[in-house]
Amino acid sequence: MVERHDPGKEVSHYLDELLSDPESESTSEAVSHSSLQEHSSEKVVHASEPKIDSATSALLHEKDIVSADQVSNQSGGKLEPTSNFNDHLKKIPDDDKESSKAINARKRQEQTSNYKNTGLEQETPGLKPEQKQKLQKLLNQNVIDVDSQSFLDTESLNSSNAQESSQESHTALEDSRPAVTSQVQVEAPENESEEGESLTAIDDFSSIAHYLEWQENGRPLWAQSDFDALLFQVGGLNLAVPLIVLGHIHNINNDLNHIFGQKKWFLGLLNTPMGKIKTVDTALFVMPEKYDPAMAKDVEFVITIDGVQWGLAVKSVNQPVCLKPSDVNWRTERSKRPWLAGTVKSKMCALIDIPQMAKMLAEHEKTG
Amino acid sequence: MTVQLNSDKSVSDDPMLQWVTFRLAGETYGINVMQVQEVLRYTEIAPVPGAPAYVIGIINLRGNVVTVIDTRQRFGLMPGEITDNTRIVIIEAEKHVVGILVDSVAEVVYLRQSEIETAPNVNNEESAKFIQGVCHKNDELLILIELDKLITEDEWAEIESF
Repeated sequence: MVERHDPGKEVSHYLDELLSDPESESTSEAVSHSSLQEHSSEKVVHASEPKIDSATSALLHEKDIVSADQVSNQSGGKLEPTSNFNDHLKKIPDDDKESSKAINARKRQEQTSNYKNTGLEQETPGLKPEQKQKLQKLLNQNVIDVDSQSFLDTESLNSSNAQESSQESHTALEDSRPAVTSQVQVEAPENESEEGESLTAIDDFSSIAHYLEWQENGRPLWAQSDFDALLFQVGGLNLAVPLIVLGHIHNINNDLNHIFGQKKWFLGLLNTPMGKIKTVDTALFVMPEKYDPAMAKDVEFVITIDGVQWGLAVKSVNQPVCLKPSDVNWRTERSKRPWLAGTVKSKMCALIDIPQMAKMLAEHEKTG
Repeated sequence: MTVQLNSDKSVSDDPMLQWVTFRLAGETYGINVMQVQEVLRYTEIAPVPGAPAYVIGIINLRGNVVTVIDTRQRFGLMPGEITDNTRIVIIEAEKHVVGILVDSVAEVVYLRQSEIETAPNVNNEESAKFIQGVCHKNDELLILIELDKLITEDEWAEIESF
């Protein structure tokens, strides 16, 4: 009987090393494990709660307008569209040859337009300013609908999770299940991936550069208050990334193209509706000393980084959770692994400083 | 008349190029059709003692000796097997004629210059300089090869001494 090679076993102790890394000594804000559990019990999302399930389901099936729908539900119906779409559909003549897809697309566009027109400032008094800003950003996005590509907008996850997290209870990581279980049909933005455009020219690192800043309290700018993080697995290692600068989640399928002559952690170019994503072999990048080539064959998704054309190849993606700054043992010395922000002992995972990682990748490309 | 002139100008600024595409290790590559002389079925390649690793050997092409390059080795790819689809593409680069061994030859595609994108530059190997750019065509990524950089002047001198 042939045993299946499990690279995860070989790196199972790697996380322990990370967790016991002298560089990740806890700061004055670090608390005991039991205390962490207590702190996080109020905010962290329960992965199997029906609310997050329905939100995820909606994301998976109606990615383009899901934020608007969720906003409507979560804000007590304050963002109701100004027209009835059923009435609108009735007005379409029977002899109109539009497909149901075209009708849905029109419906979504009008719905989104109506949401935009409604005005967040007046209609969502229950939302915090930053939440309003996120929602407005989502509503300002182009309506997208694609046939052949699948991706999940982590920004939507961020938005929905921020709303849900205040109502949900905490459970252990092992209870969480993959957030991405099926393909999502979405449409490409109108001006996506202009041909002839330089791959490097698309990167706009300046848009996320300010997130690199670490404050005097030993925490990055993005972790000054509670923040959402996406949990994922790669090479048997559990990792968490803050949603703050994450873009989308793409299914790799067979769309990854290997480019010779590049660094070994460069898996290749992934063709997506958002352009060609330069994909990183995350396992090799974060733990080269424990790397097994079999890990590269296990990856199924690519999580893209907002602002740059880079993405992290991962094996599976779990539900996002809300973390308190005190949940993390922040690293005080970050010269050895600049991409490692700290560790979350309650989740047994390493927290990636994703803006820093984006900077590293951009610098790698600049220096070649 | 003015519209016609503008149209002509835009076409000349963005010329249409033809590329011969071939497959190698699961990826599709393109080379400028103007540099391709002919495509041969795989034939016996006579090894040359003392030749560099990237040289498979020589063939007799209508009385002329042509050196055949191991393209996989040159690109830093894993060795492959010879199959019925294997071809030797005779190319002209820097006024030298050489053959490159490929898994198969696919087709000729038309690309506008503006369609060619810069390749990622995360390179730490010399072979990265062989890539002229990339382009998405017919639902697949084309990696365009700059044949003039495939072999350096010193290497040409070494090859021609066989």
